[in-house]
Amino acid sequence: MKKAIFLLTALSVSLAWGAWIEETFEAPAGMVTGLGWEDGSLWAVDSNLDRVYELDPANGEVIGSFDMSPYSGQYPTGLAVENGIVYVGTWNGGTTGYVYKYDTEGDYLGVVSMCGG
Amino acid sequence: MTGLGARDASYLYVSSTAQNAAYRYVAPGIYSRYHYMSFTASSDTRDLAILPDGSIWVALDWSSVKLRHYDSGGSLLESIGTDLVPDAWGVTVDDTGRLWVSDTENNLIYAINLSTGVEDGPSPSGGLQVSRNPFSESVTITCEGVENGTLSIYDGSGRLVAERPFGGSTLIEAEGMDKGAYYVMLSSGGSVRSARLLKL
Repeated sequence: MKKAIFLLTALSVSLAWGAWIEETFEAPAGMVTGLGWEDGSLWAVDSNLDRVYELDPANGEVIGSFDMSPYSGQYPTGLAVENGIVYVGTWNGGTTGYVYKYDTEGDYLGVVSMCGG
Repeated sequence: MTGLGARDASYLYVSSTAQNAAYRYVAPGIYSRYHYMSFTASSDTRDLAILPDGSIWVALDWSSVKLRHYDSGGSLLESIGTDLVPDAWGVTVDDTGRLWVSDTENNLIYAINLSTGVEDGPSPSGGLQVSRNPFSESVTITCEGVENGTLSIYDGSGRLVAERPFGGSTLIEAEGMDKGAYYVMLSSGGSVRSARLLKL
């Protein structure tokens, strides 16, 4: 009965019943603000170091990494990887944002200006 | 502009924390902005992940709700709160449907098994088997060894929508059910088992 009451209480907070944390490992840096996935690799961007990481999802081991360069000095706030392109979104907290593009080796492919907010 | 997700090498999805919305751009050139969905009843959005069915998981900077899942029409399907993850910023989905989340308060990365997309299999919470989940017409709930229990069904907002005796197996007809997440709780002999259903 206590368990039933607990579950009903938890329902008001977390509605994804059946969800559970299957794996946990330390992040490669202290402020990972974006994650992406492609071809069995987990990708992460850290907004303190402005660095992109490719991680082994089995244990969090860093397979490779590269610095965001050139870089505008904004904060990385999101990441996506698709078809061999690493997209990193940045924002200054105001009205301007950018999406930087790299290949998976870290070679700079270009940048697109976005609206802020 | 706070989050990115990509899908099918064709589109890049961008979340806007100021507008509580996701926009879709043609990739890789990133042009032709299209309003994809509004994150209703949310604010302070962070990173997002786009799923093959067009639904989106978005991380939030809220006190108790850290992740929300919206279908491709913008309807809220489910949420994850601080009882499961204390913080969420980066989010993505892997090839098996696991949700990956970065926790910047504790410098951790989690892989969350959402237990959906499994057509036949045991629930991680023990004993419950859900046949054909997600479902569109009906779903069968089975639990071996339970002959005298009570099955309760809740909708995504936590409202009790049905309750019935349970004798080992039951068929839930989808007629009249709105699409979205539902939660079943089986109580029997002082033990409780639960599972999540997704009505398409």
